[in-house]
Amino acid sequence: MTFAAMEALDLCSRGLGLAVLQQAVEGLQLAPVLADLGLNRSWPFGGTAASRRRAWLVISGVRLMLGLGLLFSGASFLIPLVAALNAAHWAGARGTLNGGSDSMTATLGLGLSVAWLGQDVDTLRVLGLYFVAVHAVLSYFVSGVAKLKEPAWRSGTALSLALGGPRYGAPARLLALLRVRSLALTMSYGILLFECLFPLALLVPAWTLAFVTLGAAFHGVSGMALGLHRFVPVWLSTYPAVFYLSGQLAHLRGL
Amino acid sequence: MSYTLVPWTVFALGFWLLASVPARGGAGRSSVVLRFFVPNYRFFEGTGHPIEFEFRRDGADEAWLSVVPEALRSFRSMFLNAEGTFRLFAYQLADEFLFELEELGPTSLDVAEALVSFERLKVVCLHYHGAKMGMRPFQLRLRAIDVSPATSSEVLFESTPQVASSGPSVS
Repeated sequence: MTFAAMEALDLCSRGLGLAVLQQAVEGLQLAPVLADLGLNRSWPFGGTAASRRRAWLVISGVRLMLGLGLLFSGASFLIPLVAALNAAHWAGARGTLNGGSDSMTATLGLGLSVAWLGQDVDTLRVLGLYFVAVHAVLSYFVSGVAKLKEPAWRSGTALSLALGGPRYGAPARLLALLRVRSLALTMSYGILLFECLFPLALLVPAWTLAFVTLGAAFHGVSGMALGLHRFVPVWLSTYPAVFYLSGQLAHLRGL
Repeated sequence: MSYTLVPWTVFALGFWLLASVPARGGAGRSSVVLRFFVPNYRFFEGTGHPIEFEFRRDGADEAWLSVVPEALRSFRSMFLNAEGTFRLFAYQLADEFLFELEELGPTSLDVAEALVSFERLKVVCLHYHGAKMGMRPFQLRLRAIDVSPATSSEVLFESTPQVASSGPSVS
């Protein structure tokens, strides 16, 4: 399975629209408490809680409209506007609100902005899609290698350590499974292998499908069990770019 | 290329805004900008003890309770879950406070409680429990918990009694 550049760009863009829409709706709901937290308490958002609340509502409201527009129309000129609002959102929160998902949303917006700019310039279009694909692959690989260096991951105890506290609210059934050593080891090594071997998804198009299917399942389970639901649309939005890069590499190798 | 001018101008303004506001939690301004362009893909590799974020109302017999309520899972929460997002952010704010404390080194409670990151923890507590607590003083505590039942937990920080101000916001 491969995608042409414009197909990949269209699918990634609509996925970005969905991710931004999800984040914007949540941003509107959280505007009052985010304003109270004083995250954006100085210029240019204003010093009072009311002005900060307005700022959050405006940023989230505009993101919602851009997200809807991008999702349903695929109109690519919206992409740099979405990327700009991502930057404004980061400025408002002075960093990320939700770590990894915010980071990948920013990366996706940047890469697709370059690809959009290059609609008349093939090189830029290709570079933008490569940027997204490489970051998607690196997100798994870097994370996997960092985990592999930790003794707790190699011994199978890391998952219960990471998930055993109240932060993620992991279900009791999952925590009970993680207390069974053989299951904990299997899950740990399953995650390590998946993440560390993800770059192989670029070698053969058939492997790409297998890896992104595993990726979708991984993010789906994380979303359900750990509340990491924001990761799902963002990472899935990068997969068309991964397919595109994999196809390009296969073409170069004459496959 | 003229059709690209407006969207790219807007993007440049957005990036300028990002670069012009100070970061939170002890991070440098440049690190926020850097992270926007070059993410740090480190998820779950740290295996320190989980943190419990607790509060109690002022009074000798009051029990310590978790600030953040239990997570509710549903099919809908796979798509929209603002409370779930905020719950994760609340723990992130607790991490940032502990990071700033560590950076300060040994210090008095007054100095620790003057940190903006501590003010934010108070706001989180009032967001969840302000209605029940009213104007009654309360304490906050951060504890590293051991998921093995045999070992006791370590108190990382315990505040003096705090008073809810007239509004639950960081000014």
